[in-house]
Amino acid sequence: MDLSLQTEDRTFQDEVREWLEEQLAGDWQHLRGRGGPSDEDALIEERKLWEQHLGANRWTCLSWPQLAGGRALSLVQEVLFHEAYAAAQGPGRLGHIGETLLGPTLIHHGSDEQKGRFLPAIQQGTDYWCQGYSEPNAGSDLAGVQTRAEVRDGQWVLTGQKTWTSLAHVADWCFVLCRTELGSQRHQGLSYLLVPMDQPGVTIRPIKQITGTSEFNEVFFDGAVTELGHCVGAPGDGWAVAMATLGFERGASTFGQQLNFFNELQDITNAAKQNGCFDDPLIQDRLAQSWMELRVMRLNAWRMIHHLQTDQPSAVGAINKLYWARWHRKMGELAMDVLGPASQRAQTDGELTRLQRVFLFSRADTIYAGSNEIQKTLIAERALGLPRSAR
Amino acid sequence: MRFEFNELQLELRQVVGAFLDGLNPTHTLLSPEKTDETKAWAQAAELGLLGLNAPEAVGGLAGGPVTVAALLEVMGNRHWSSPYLSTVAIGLDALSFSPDQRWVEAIVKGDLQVTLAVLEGRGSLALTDLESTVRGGQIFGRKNFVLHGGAADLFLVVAREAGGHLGLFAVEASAVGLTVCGEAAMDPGRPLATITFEGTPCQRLGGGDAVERILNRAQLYSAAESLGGAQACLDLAVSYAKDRHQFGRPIGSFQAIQHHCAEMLLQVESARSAVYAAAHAAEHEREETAMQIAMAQATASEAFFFCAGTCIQVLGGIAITWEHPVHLFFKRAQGSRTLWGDPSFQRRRFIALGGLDRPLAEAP
Ligand SMILES: Cc1cc2nc3c(=O)[nH]c(=O)nc-3n(C[C@H](O)[C@H](O)[C@H](O)COP(=O)(O)OP(=O)(O)OC[C@H]3O[C@@H](n4cnc5c(N)ncnc54)[C@H](O)[C@@H]3O)c2cc1C
Repeated sequence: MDLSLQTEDRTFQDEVREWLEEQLAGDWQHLRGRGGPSDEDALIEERKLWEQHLGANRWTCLSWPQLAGGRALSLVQEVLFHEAYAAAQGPGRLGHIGETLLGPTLIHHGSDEQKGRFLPAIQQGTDYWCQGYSEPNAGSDLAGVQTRAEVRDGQWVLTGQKTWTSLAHVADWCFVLCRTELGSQRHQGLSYLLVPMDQPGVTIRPIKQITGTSEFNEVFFDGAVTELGHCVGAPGDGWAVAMATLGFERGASTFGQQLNFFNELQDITNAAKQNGCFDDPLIQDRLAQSWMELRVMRLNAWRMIHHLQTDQPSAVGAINKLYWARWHRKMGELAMDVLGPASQRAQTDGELTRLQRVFLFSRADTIYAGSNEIQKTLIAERALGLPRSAR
Repeated sequence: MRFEFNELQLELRQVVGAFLDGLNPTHTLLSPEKTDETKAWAQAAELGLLGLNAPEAVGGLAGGPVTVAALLEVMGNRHWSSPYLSTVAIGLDALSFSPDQRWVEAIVKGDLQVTLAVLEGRGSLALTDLESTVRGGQIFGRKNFVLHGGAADLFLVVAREAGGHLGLFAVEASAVGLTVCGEAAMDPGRPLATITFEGTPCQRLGGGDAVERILNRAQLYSAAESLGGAQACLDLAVSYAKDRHQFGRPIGSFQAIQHHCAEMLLQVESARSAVYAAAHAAEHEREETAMQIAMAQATASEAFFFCAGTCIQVLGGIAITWEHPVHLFFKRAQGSRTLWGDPSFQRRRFIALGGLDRPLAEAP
């Protein structure tokens, strides 16, 4: 058992911290701490400039192979970057969908032409992506996708509707899972198309969320077009590519998220000490439970990293999403109980407070990226090898 | 970074696993015939297990807390009901404070079994109600809930010295003025005893620091045992859910059962992280060791209890029979949870040890 970092990793950590501190104390100070969960809409244009600054200094796409424009850094160094970024209160990322979802998909399944066309722009922070999977009738059951595309006049033409599309309103491109074989069912006959957002056939309608802000959107395709060559994998093989996209996340970003959780829980603890409810043994007990679980969450994540690095199956990796999503939701409830009736009071300008937004938006954590129920079924079937349940 | 045991530790775990599979502890506990536990203990000595954390000079393996926890996990997994934790894991450690190394040598050879006599009154690990005292080398008081107290050769006793300070003392079972009153227990593998000391001669092993150290270690090792037990219950449930058919399909294909099992895995894996990290902290004498142990004991004892209870639910009626071993785990889980500081006790300890004030991002 050796839980210490290697010297070169410490050096890397120092380098990241120093660079971020210098930037965020200087020219980019106005972006510090902005654009996080339920503040996604803040300062979009400035944050895109920041992303380009990151790219120019090679702080994006750290884990990508060098040939693809990345730095092929180890998983541990990627973790350290995410931790340092969160600790420095780096602005909420906009390029992460391209960097962590589409990029790796193209690296593994894209044509040379697609790689050449799309990867550099992701690395440089000039192209932003959104994920067009979910539809009104295809949520957890993604194979129910109904959006259609056909080839007409040498290009793909799309018709249909996507929903819950995060950051579609800031994206240049969308990777769309759609049906390209007439009359096909379920996982068959789907394709994975790369579609430009800025065109007459695409309409984006922001959806006002539980917090009053809008991070996700409805996206309508009505004769939207894209080049024939913008299909990843063969036409009809879209399901496999779409699933591959979901498998690339290596778990490094979970560490950055944990530091944000840490800050939130610290605010809640301070609030309890200030308003006196810390004297309530039941509140103390819940705070202690929450803090312990946050620490366990972090240990779990490190153990998962160890497994990934050594190519072992990771049971602890399988429970990560369920663990943090449920923990965060419970933390949101604790925040409100700590504040008491004052939890109902918004800010004087009518905006919700940070903890109110956390309380409300944490309800989404247990729904997206595999709801708790879906996660538990996956754990049972994949990590524990139980027989498939009825679908 | 390597968040896993080393090769030697993994090998030792195999050896212990094979040894215990041979003993088949749950079967032994459930069978009506009385079995001879001394033979198993002698075998453990032959294998070198009883010198696990003893100095090499007395034939020990000089294993640190990570090695000890690694093996206690396996013992908990196989439900071995010996006083290994108190004799070897704690006894060797505590008696290393003693200038007289006879006891240590006897433990390694398998000639001496040790137990901890700590709790009094209703049995709070906070020890605020501790009344036993030591005056002029003699101990006075009464200890409750002493595990394996009837069979022990030596007691490690926590008592107050002059000024009310806590101290750690060794008392031989054969000493004068000592009465052992054995008690049957709900957990058939863990008989209890009440021990009364009336001017019993004792040897001082250390003061408050020593007390804190061995109690912390005991909680860590109990957490490791609980982790092993929790995994055993998960494995029992999963294999049963694959085999057992109802409504024409394996019950493991019902979502309600699947989700029970998923919840168990979540708890087992979290307990594993907490226990391994706490053992690592203890091995390197990290400043936050006690806090990590509080986390480990809270997480692992909760996981064990949850998994044992959930396993019963997954198994159905068979789990309510004496023949099926799951009740042994359930009883053990409840005992380990309460004897070594239950989760709410551990959460209070966690707060007292700065758990709400420390930064998150030190190395793991
Ligand atoms: C904040 C947020 C951002 C999102 N961003 C995107 C995005 O960028 N791109 C995108 O494509 N999608 C996105 N989504 C959509 C997300 O992936 C879906 O919400 C998710 O897949 C669940 O689908 P659904 O909402 O239709 O719920 P449903 O699938 O209808 O689920 C409703 C309930 O039924 C349960 N359920 C469903 N199936 C089963 C089953 N087999 N067994 C047991 N229980 C079941 C669910 O757990 C849930 O409790 C986002 C969602 C949120 C909340």
